[in-house]
Amino acid sequence: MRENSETSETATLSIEYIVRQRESPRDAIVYQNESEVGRLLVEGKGLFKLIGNKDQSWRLCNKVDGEVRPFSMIVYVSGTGEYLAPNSPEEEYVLKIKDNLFQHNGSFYSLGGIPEGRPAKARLIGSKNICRLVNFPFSHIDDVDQETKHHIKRYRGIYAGEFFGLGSSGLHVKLEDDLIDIGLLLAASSYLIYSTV
Amino acid sequence: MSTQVDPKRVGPFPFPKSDPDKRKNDFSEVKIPYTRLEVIEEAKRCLLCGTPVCIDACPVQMDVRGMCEAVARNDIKTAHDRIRNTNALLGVTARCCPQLDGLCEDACVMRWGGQPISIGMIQGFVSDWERTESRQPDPVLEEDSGKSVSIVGAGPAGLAAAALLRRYGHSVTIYEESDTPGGTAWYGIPDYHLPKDVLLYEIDRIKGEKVEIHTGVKVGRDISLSELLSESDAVLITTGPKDVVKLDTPGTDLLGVYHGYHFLEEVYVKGVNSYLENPQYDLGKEIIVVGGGDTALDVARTAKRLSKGNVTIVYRRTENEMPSDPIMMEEAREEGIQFKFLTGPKSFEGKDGKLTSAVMNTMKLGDHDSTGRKKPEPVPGQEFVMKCDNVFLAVGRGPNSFLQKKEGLKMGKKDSIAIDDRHKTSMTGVFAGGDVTTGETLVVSAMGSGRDAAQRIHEYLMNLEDKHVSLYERYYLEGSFELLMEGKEGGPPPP
Repeated sequence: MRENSETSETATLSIEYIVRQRESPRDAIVYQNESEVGRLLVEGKGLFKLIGNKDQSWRLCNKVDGEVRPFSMIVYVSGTGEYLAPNSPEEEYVLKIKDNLFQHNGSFYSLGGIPEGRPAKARLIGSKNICRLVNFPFSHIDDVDQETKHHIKRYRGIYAGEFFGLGSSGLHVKLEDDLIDIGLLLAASSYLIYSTV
Repeated sequence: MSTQVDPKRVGPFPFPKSDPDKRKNDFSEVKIPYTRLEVIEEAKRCLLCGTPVCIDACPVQMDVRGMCEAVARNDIKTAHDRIRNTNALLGVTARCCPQLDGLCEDACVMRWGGQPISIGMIQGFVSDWERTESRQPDPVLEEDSGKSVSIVGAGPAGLAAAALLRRYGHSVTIYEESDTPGGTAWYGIPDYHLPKDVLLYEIDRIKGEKVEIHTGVKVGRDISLSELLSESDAVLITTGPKDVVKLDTPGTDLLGVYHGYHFLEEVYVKGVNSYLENPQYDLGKEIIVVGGGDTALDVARTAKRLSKGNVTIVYRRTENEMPSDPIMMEEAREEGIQFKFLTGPKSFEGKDGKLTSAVMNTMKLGDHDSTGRKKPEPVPGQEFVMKCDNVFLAVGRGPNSFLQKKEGLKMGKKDSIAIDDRHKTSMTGVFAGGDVTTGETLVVSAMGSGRDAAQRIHEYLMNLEDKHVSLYERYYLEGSFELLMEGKEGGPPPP
């Protein structure tokens, strides 16, 4: 458990993944409690496949809303053991990270933000934080306007996780319980966005 | 490892600074540049990532990796050519970007080891070399397209857009209201961050690419948008931020209460030496600056240099919530700027119309506002008085709303110019980019927006809109690490 003594907010970071690169920098294995829970493979430029246990697989792509974007990734379910064509319009995504923001179970989260109550200089060194944004004035990620994106650094939130480490030695991704059902997808996406060489 | 890092300092600050006791008395540059040997050693630390996050984090996709690869071989010319490709204001951005705070150095994977590459310092060395020792040829322009674009506003967004449009072969004319181009980079950034000869050199380079800049022309007053459209194939508005956020604090009309942005403009617009010969402000010895951003810091540090008095920044929240650059905070403290947190003005008091003191509220933090920060609220009965000779208000600026109001363009939040995904305004043939569409951002963010708008204008002019590819996507798909490793150009492609 991690406690922020200045705000008395606590976040139970009971979920931890380690993503470690394989022979090529963008191929990786995802571990949880020292067991392999996922395998990340490059399928093409900006296109990746994540294979989980129990025959699950997902397609990850950095072309979000029709445009290749930095700090963005969209995750589609590929179907049991199958790999669907990219960007099939009838597909629903299970995770959309767009410009360091994502939405899950009605809440907005930022990657690399500053938890409320911590100084701005906390972002200069060490881990990158995942913050659940408070009172974020949008109801859907597609509605977030340019002005907000340009000023997203000012938006604070509740500490909900963190990630740190180079993929060659292992990117550690720690998450709160609320993110458990997308934990593997977040770990793989964070690796692809932040930690490959 | 870089030889310049003091591990005792806050975070992995990569650069040495000049002596604060000396620099607080003049406007000389704070940052001490690396030597050639130091910059080569620093560049060698770069891992030359196959998927460089540093370039992802740069709003103009500057080829950081290509720069480091070349500098590590002591090939400064190639390094310059690679980064000039997409960054028209190299020396400016090397100095003004908060690299560690959300940009390239923040993204650098070496941060996981505690020390990101000092990209800004390397870039600064390369740009200074080119400026002072070996001016390089202009980028190659495409053939004259026969199309022309008028740009309103010669700030960073307009200049960056102009440079890209010229690369595409379109003729470009910029109309600038002030007597000097540069926008906020000229009048809003003090010389101790950005010496004006650096900016003037970059502007001169852009003019050298046959960009015409007409200063002293206010579009909307001296010439209308319709007239501009009749003379050109497209118009781009990049008039930036200007409208100051006003406080409704009683007493703001007293002599001695000023807007910090206007203060900076009057000190720097004709050059600080010109101001020193003919100062317009009687600063006194007790100065208060209200605000928590980078501009508040710059107002305070400028006032300190001019007055040699006591300067205090008051901010309504705690230091943790201050949006200003932590590195600049440290510099300000070193120079003797004082801070009072959880403090906000209740009223300004005066005698015979002249400010004498400020009554301050002690604040407490209440519920979260829409930014997730706790909202400051005054604590009744805990007001206190601060004697002061001048107060400068620096609580934010919105977009310059003059032109959109005059011309009836559709507006967005805070009277910005509303644009669609293609940077188009509500007037056919008129585009907009930079801070006039988003509110005040960084110099490099405004440049990125200006370049994106320029790309859209190019596609519009050449009937390529249905084949749109963003500048970032072009870089991502066409830049090749493998090419770089083979000794070929592997960074962002030219237009």
